[in-house]
Formats: sequence, structure tokens, C-alpha cells
Amino acid sequence: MTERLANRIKSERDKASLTQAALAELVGVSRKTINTVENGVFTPSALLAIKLAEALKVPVEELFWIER
Amino acid sequence: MMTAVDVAERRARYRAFGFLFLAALTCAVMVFVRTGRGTDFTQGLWFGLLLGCVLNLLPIKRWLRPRSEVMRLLDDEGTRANRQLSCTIGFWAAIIVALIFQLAAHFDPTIAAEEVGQLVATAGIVCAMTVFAILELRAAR
Repeated sequence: MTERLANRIKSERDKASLTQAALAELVGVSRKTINTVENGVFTPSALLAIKLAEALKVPVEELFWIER
Repeated sequence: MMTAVDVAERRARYRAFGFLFLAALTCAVMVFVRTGRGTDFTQGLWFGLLLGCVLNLLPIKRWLRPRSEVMRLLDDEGTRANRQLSCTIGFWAAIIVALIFQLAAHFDPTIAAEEVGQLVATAGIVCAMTVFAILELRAAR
């Protein structure tokens, strides 16, 4: 059974009217890292996941969840 | 005005294209050397290029300028993951080429150690650099 970390970064980012670059600036990573996390290509560390949740002002468990 | 994120994005793209160019050049020089047209100069050029490739795969600029925001962004979590994956693929490419030569040596024992070393090293580094560049360019889309 495969598991993957799904997220709703794009919708939360749109709600907050932030571009990928603006979110990257807030979190302190490059835009391509935001892009790969958003598209599910790269699984972020717990540290980055919490930083993203803080920047988007949503609980981390609402931003990320395990998809089976 | 360009932010650090924009500058890092641009530099990451240049770095990826630079890696592809370096990998292609290293391959071309190796083919040149191995097809019997090699001189001491081309052998040295190949060695220099390979050394340059190895150094480029390491985050040396980050080590030299740890407080630079752009350097930090150029070696962030996503980039480190790409580097790790590309180095792993490079390692396996080198192992596969080494095993092929080990097998080939049974049929042709005259294969020179220098030739094997050159091909194994080139395969490993060129694969690692190409994969890193592709992953970086794909991430930036």
C-alpha cells in the first residue's frame, strides 16, 4: 500500500493572496522548493511543514495529511 | 527590485544549464581521449573538468559564504534532496559501469586500468550532474 503526503498549500496560498515566490520569501526557501512541495513531488521535513503552516496561518494537520 | 528568492531562482537555472554543459563537455573530452586522439593536454583537460564537476556538486559557495541569503536559498531543503538523489544515481551508474568492465575483462584481459578508471569516474559524475540539472529544472517549472 502506498502512502503519500497530500497538501492544500495552493488553495491556502490563493486564499492568502500569496505567490509561490512570496511564500518562499516568508518561509526562507527557494520558489522551486515551494513548487515541488505544492505538487507533491517533494516531501518536506517537519520543520518546513510547520513553517509553511505558520506562514499560511493554518494548523499543520489541516495543511498536510496522509493519502492512502 | 529583485528579491533574494528571484536572484536564487535565476542562479539556480544558470547552475542547472552550466551542469548540463559541463557534463556534455566532460563526456566529449573523454570520447576524444578514448578514441585515440588524446594527448597529455586532453587527459589533463578531462581530469580538470572532472574535478570541476565534483567541486560543483558540493555546496562549496554555501560553505564559503554561510551568511549569504542567496547562497542559503541555493542550497535549501529541496536542492539538498535533489543533490542527494543525483549523487545516489551517479554512484549506481559508476557501479554498473565498473561491473560491466569487470565482466568484459574476462573476455579481453588487455583492458587498461586507466581506461576503466576514466570511464567509471565519467559515468558516475556525468550521471549525477545530469540528474541534478534535470531535477532542478523540473522543480523550477
